[in-house]
Amino acid sequence: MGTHVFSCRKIAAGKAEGEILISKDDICFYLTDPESGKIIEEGHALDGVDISGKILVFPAGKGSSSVNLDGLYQLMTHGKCPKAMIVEYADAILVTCAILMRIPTVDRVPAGFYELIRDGARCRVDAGGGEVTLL
Amino acid sequence: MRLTEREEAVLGGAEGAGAALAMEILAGIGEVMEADVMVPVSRAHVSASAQEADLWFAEKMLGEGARTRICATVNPSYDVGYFRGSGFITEGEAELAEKCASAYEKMGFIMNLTCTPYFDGNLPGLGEAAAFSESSATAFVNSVLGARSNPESAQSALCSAIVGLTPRYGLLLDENRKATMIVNAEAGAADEFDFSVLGWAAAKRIGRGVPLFRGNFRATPEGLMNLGAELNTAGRVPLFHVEGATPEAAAALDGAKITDEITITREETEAVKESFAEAYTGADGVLLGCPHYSLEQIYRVHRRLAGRSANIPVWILTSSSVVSMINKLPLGRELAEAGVSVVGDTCVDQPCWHKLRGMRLLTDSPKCFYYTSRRSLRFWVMPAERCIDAALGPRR
Repeated sequence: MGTHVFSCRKIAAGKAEGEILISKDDICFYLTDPESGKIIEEGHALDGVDISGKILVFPAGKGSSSVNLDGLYQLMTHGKCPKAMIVEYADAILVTCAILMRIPTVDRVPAGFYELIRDGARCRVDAGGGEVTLL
Repeated sequence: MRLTEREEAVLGGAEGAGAALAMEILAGIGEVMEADVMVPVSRAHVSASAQEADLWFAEKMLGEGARTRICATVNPSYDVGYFRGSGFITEGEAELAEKCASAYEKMGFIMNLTCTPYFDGNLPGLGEAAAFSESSATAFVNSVLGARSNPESAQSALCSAIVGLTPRYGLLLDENRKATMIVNAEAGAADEFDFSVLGWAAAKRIGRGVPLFRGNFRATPEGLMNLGAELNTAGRVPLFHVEGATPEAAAALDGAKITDEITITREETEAVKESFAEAYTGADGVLLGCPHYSLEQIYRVHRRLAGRSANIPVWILTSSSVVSMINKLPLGRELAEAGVSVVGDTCVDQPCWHKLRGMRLLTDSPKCFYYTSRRSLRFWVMPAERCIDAALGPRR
């Protein structure tokens, strides 16, 4: 597979490179275990899956501002945050969390990206440069 | 989104690292929400949570020189002085709450610690842009006062308090304040409890719209407060209109695209009332004031007591300024003598109520019932008068 470059919109600045992890469900970061980085929400598509260090691709955040920030904060203090986030629907709470935790985050990646990606594939996110590169 | 020279300068650190971070977050939100510009806000209300991340953020902003530049109030946590040593809280919980409060206070927040800041000095006017978090407070200032606030997160409201700005999108724009649906309330609302029941019954059927309520209403600020509180407990409705009672109700229909019309039947509201009191077997305690009671509501409790004493514990939660006001009046002494504790700074959804587990509790607030159920407390919901009558009942 060659290198594919996709445009995106910056939500929180920064660059990161790593393995893609796809969630078909929205994510509430409060429902994660900060020790293991695993999602602990029953019935969630990623229940029991470690999100730390991943380029996390998911539709949207969910839950209140306090619980989401606290969830990501606990992950951060344990070194278990995702490396970058690629979302479809950003809201004010996710924007705030991403900027505060300094997690490079983007949205508006074209549909072609979603057609090509699979779990474990590598990609590079350059939020400021407005580019997602599938490696 | 276009930033002015001053806004760019703040972003670049001209007013310190804390203000720069606040500006970065607000500009980030503005970009995502496709705001065109920042607009000044003169008031903010922050729903501080006293969680570890809240403390981290508040101390970080304080340490980086962030200070409030507008009237900015803070949501309740709990009165540490009242609960410390009572066996209700651990020392660790008390310290976390104190450290959070201290950081907010040093940043310049008005520490009235209430979820009804509009009764307590933070009163935005008609058409005024504001940044309010706390879902019921946002609903009140939008709907009852006609001020304009998006449903802010705790952090975005804090950032607005620091830089005095908010991105212009959503409910700050005329077109998004129009009614999108009509809600016919068959039973109307004759008192504050009726408004709570109506809000609870209507919330799930409203979804994301801007409802205009029609019916026979006897509206008070407290009744409309209850409507907003329940619409935002069972649902998410930061703006509603009530025909004949809220300031933008007429304008909300002007050029509106009404896409839905629903009726909340008498049977529905009666069923809600019945479900709230189902299997009631008697009370061990009463908790009123979710949202925080107004002075008028406290007077009404006093009148209902009519010089008699409660046989079970009764707590009323309100702002600390109302607490200090009633303590200057005979009211304060008389309530205390009647066995009623009036507590400031405190929310029902805080870890300070553990000791009530296993008790049979009464409240007039569906919101109180809903949030405390997560903490394994069992509440029945009935009008305040019935709660007081139960407290006056024969000692069991």
